[in-house]
Amino acid sequence: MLKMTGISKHFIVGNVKTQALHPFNLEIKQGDFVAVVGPSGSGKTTFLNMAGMLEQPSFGQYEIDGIEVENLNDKASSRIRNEKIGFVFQSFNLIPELTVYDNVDVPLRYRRFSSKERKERIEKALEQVGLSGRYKHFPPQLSGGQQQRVAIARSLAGSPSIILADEPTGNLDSKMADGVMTLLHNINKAGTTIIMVTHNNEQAQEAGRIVHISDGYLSENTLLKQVIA
Amino acid sequence: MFHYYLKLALISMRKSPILVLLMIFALAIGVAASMTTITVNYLSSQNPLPHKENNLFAVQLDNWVIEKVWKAPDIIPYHLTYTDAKNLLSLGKQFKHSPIAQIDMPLEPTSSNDKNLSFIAQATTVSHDFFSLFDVPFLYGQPWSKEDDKNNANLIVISETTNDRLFLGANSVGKTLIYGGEIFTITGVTQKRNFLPKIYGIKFSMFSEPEDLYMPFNTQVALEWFSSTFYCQKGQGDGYQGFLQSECMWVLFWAEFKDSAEKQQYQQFIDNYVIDQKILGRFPRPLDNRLTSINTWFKYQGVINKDTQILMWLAILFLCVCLFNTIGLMLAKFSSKSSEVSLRRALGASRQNIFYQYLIESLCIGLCGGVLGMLLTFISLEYFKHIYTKLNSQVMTLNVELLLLGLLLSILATLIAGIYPTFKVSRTSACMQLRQK
Repeated sequence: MLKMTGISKHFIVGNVKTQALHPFNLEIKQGDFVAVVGPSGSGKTTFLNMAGMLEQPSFGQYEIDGIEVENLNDKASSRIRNEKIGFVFQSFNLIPELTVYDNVDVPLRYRRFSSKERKERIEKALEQVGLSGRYKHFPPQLSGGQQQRVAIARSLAGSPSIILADEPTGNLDSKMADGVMTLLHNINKAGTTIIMVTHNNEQAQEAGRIVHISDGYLSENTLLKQVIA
Repeated sequence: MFHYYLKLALISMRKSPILVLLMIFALAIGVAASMTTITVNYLSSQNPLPHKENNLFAVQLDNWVIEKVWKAPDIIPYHLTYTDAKNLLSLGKQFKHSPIAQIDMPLEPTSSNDKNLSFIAQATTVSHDFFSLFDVPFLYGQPWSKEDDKNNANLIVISETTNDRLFLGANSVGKTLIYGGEIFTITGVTQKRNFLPKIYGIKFSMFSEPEDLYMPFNTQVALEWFSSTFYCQKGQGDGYQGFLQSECMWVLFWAEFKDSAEKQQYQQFIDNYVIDQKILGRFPRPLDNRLTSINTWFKYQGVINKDTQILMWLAILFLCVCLFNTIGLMLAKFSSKSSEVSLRRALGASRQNIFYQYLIESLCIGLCGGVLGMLLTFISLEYFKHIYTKLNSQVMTLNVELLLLGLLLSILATLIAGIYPTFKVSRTSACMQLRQK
């Protein structure tokens, strides 16, 4: 469902070229739980940005569900991002002026669902994360763990095939982190692919696959899958 | 999506009320300054009889001396001599036209008990046709007849204001008044109306208060009353009769035509008349007789003068300064939204979605600025009415047309102010959100 072939990414600032990710191949199948690990500055976030179509690769081919997405225009790539990908961020990134209900509603609005369908999806997603009774609350009125669960509900509401999670437990205490991880595993068991960046070895070990990124080189488990250009 | 964007706009505006108020005030002040000057300029240049634009004309005959230029090379005198006015009236009986002159005399009630009510009244002396030429509405009675014109009758039509002053608003038709020491009988009372600029006036008299009364032009001449304005190229002549026979110009002359054929006929009529007069040694300059339309007349009279035009441009410049301020404030506001924008982009909003969202927020601010701006315009016009009491208050009134213009101006202004910040915010990178930890 997600296939990256010969993908690389570099940034040019002035006359300086920085190779963020060296060319690599990676294929992730429907229902995989992939943990992306590596030291800070190794290229994990760049990898996640490209996987989530937030950044275009410098070279290579990228397919999601058989669609080549690396050269799509803004409207088409926004649509695929909206329909196929859900995001969970370390700092939750909820909009503080909107209620829990309206925060979960954000991606659905761009999908042009009817208000009835949006309502059903929001209620279902909040129920899944155990926050059914908090529709009218505003994010600052919730704990960190609850906020992250709202963020997960937001990513779930559109029924994406992939959830990209960037250190989803990074800002939570261990008890709340365990709750969030349980939730992510349950979602994965229901068939949703999860790609999660983490610094936590225990959480990584619980994933089905582990991708290491170090100095821009990507490798999976002990098997080196990098392609040197 | 419009309702959603509107909801987001209102939430966003509530979040930073001071910044939003600053933007609204900047726009409102700019709109109010420009709308106040535009209102005064616009209303003071409108033809109050637009349906007569192609029918009503000022008659101008070039009877000026050959040695000197009259005001400017392309302008000919506005007034006719008494000789020409009289001749046009007697030779062109088939046409609808009227002489117009001004006099100021004391007006007093005939009842000796009411002497304290007397005042210097401004009269416009005209013929019977004048009232239909300029669509003068009547509250009571009617104009005097053509026969009365011929008979130099002592008849007058008074204004509603004069009627209120002297007769407390009661129907005064048939009653008498003393004007310039002569007893006149009232045949009608004209109704108040918005009639500015006064089409048949010249220069500043176009914006003066409406006349207190009208009386027959022939009666003025018969009573040997001088007009308040006259231009003499040579001498004034001896006595009143000498003045009448002189080349002094003091009579404005207006004519109305049913169609262009009749207008052409009239042009031929005045051209033939002047050719005949040239044989008598008059009209030394080349033949140049004009039937001047209302709008051209307004240009000649400088209804919009250069000073007010400069003032209008300055007000528009001020609006531009306010717009630049609003652009700055909007940039600051929208920049603070970059993390929300990149989040929305990550969640599937296209650049177009973001553009529309912030455009609607800009328009909401513009609409608030516009409404407040129009309110300030209304207040400033009311304030000016009180300060400049000599100016006619009728030109300082907002009508629906101007209200809509003001709102349109403010929305356009906000679009101009909002387009760059909106475009800039819509280009926010989606991946910024993932980088911010």
